[in-house]
Amino acid sequence: MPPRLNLFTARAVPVLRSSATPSAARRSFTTILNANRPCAATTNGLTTPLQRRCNSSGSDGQGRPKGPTEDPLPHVSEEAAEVSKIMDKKCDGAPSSPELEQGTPVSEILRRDKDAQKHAPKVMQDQMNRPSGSRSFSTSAFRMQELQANNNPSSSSDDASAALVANMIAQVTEQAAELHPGLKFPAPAELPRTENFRKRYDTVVDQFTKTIMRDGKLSKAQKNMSFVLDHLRTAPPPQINPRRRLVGAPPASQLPLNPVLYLTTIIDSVAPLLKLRQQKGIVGGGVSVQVPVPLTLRQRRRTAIMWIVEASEKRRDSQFAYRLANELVAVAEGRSGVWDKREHAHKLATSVRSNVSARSGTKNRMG
Amino acid sequence: MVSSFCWGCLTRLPSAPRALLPPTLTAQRVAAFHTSTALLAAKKGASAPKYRQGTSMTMKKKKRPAERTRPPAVGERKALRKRIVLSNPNALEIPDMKEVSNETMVDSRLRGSVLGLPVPMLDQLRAVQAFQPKQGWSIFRRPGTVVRRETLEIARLIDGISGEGEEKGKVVKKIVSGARATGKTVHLLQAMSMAFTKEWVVITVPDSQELVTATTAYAPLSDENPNVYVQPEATAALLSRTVTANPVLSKLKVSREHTGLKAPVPAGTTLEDLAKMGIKDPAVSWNAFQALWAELGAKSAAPGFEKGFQPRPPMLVTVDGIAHWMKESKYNNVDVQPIHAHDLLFVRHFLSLLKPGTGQSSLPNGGMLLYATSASNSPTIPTLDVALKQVAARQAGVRPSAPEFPHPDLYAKTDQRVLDAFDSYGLPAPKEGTLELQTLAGLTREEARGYLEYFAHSGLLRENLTDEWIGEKWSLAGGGVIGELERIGRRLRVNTA
Amino acid sequence: MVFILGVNFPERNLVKKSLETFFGVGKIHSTRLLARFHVHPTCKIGELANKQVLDIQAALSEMKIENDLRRQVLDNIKRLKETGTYRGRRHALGLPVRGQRTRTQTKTAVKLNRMERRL
Repeated sequence: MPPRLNLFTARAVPVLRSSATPSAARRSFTTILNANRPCAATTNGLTTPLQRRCNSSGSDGQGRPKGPTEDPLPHVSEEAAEVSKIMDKKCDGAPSSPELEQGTPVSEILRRDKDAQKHAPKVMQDQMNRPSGSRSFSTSAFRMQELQANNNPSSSSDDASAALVANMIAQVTEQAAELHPGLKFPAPAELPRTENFRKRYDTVVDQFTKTIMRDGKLSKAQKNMSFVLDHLRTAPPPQINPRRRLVGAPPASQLPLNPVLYLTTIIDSVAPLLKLRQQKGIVGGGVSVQVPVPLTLRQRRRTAIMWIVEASEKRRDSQFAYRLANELVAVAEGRSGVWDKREHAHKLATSVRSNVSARSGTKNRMG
Repeated sequence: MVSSFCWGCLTRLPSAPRALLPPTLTAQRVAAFHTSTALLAAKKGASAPKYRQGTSMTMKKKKRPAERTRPPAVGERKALRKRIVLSNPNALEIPDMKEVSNETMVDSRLRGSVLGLPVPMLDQLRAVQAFQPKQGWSIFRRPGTVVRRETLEIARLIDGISGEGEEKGKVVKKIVSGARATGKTVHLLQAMSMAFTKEWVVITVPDSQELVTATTAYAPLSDENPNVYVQPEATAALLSRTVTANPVLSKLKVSREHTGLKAPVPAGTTLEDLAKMGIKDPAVSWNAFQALWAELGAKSAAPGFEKGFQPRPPMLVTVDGIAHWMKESKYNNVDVQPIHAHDLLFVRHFLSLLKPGTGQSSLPNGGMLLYATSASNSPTIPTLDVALKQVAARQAGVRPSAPEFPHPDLYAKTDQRVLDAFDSYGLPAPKEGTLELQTLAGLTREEARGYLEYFAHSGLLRENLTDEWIGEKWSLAGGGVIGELERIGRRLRVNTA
Repeated sequence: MVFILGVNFPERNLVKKSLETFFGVGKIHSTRLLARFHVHPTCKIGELANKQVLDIQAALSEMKIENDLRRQVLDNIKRLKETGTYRGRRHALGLPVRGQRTRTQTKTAVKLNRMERRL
């Protein structure tokens, strides 16, 4: 299976463009793939029959369906060069702007510069002299292509190469179809994550539930979680404190209708970006130094959840779920001490930010 | 393991200077001939464990932080557990939602839609404890129920009984059964809401388990009948539910004399006052209940009481979770033997209604009996299962002598009293229906669509309700089991976020 | 507060637990007493009717409980000692009476079986 697919990808990513020695034949090859754009075809002086063939596969009786990657867009530089050619009406192919020089294929330079042609490496000269349509590698598809070419001697060499590509694509598509038999229609799109019953809860909800779990009692934690979500759903919409806005939240009146989003915005709003790590051996002398370290999304959320749970302990309500739900609403309204914690953490991290460079410096010295 | 050097060479090494050697070694060297004393001396200094003293390391106990919060007040936790919230101000209001009324309840075009419960009726429904805490009322703007096929059937029956047609004064007896979360209790609630609309008298037993778990007071009926028991507190609670929920009672006057109550009941006393006598003094609550029951079944007034006599409305009697009544209770009799639930007069009274009445029907002014089983909180009683099967067989016209008539397992213990309770032998009175078994199952797809659209309109469900999607959820909910549909409908997702 | 047999019980206490505070009334006897006077097992002291209190008191006063029972037990032990039985000797020596092992686990016997037996 892998070799077949390799063949496919080798064709899909235009071989010819990445090649260091593009010959005239390969150049035309690339443009055949782009043949749906007539201006590109004409500038390269392609024969009309070929163009027609690639444009309307149905009209010439071939009836070959187009493969998914049969006509990819050309490389950026190539396209820019072509556009500039059209726009500037300079038929000698000189680039209108210096940036375009970067991406100009060697073949074009060679074509317009006879001197350079003479001094070109021997390999390139050989390739330029070689009859077009031949390739430096051979595959089984090639042989089939050659057979077909023999059957149709009147086709030009360009036509032959185009047919070769088409043939390869057709073959690979067939092989891909063989790999997934029995599918009359394309396979359905991938299901959303929550459709899997093991991951039925949203990421944040899941993390929150697992964090408030004690002694491995998951169902109790889930019960508390569902109470919290129901409370968020039924409590009056939060009065947002203008100094402590929730990050990326819809208007406050819409929050209760989507309690999971409500919970997510609350947690993401008070999640710290950094934490301080005590690190020894940066400045020497065995003194440990605080270094701010960035947190991943999950770590940030975990810190926020822990803070919220901690802050909820101070509440007077009799039940844990009540305390937690009320604390979450307090966070949304900007009344909670969790906000101060976040600001404090950020302030500390900012004050010791010079240690970051010290740390990286150590690393460099050691490395 | 042969060492690479020779021991002889080692012995010939010059001895180390004394000062270099550790002092303990020197001590031994002094008494080189007898080592035991030196060893003992060394041991004395070290802190050896005393005889039989534990040597294991003891961990210091962590000091627990002092308990800051007080334990919740008595009854607070139960109140929280039983709290019923009927409205969520955040949910969207559905503008064209219809209410239960005389017209809408029998309208078959409304099948599959959600009918709201009228706001004034909510107090009555709360009084008879029609709502249960975990039915998800709290997420909608206002409580509503789906109109399903069985709802329309009940509605037609109730309409017929209170109408003027030939069905007037009929008695319908049904046992509502079905799998878990198929909407049995809500079915009772729908019947109650319709009965309140038609101004019936509604008498309910929302929690049958309370009567048999030995949590309320009990006493033998009298010295003559020491083997049947009354439950004064439970009866008083029933009376209080009935009085709060049925304002009709204040319009009706007593129609005969009543003995057994502490004071004589004068003519012109309303039934509400009669019931309140029982609520005030639980000792006579059972007599008061019997008096009230007799008054509600009265068809005419006794001489001397004709003034202000009004015909009695039909009655709806509902009991939820009858399985608890089909076994021995937790109460003990004098000989410390468990009392069978059927020996409790309260239970016996409601079960006796299932049988055909003697002379006249069990509800003389017509009405309906709806007794529901429970699938989540119910004891396993094999005899009850057989009894229900027998009810279904009789309903299907199978004679008890026929071979396919279900019988209890011969090798299992059978409770004959349970079988008898559902055995409606004898001819029913003219307008009295026989006992039927109604099994609730899932909603149809159309009804499920209406129900899920209710979620979508309330802003709880953010999905494109295509036929395909609804079919998928209908299957996921075990073929439209409404409780499962509810869980799917409120399942939280943030696809939009 | 309700007096039963001279003891004052707060109203919020369970009747069953309150009865079991008497020496000589355990689970069996309390269950029987409750069944005899039709008191449900979750009944609190405050919910008892006056008649039930009197009935329970009368029933308790007929039973051999508290000091009467203690005296009886002590008398039995004394008799064993005086007649010089093996069991009496074991009681006096502070050893297990009913054939238990003495190598370990004789704490209860050591604690209880004395010359002056406590109850």
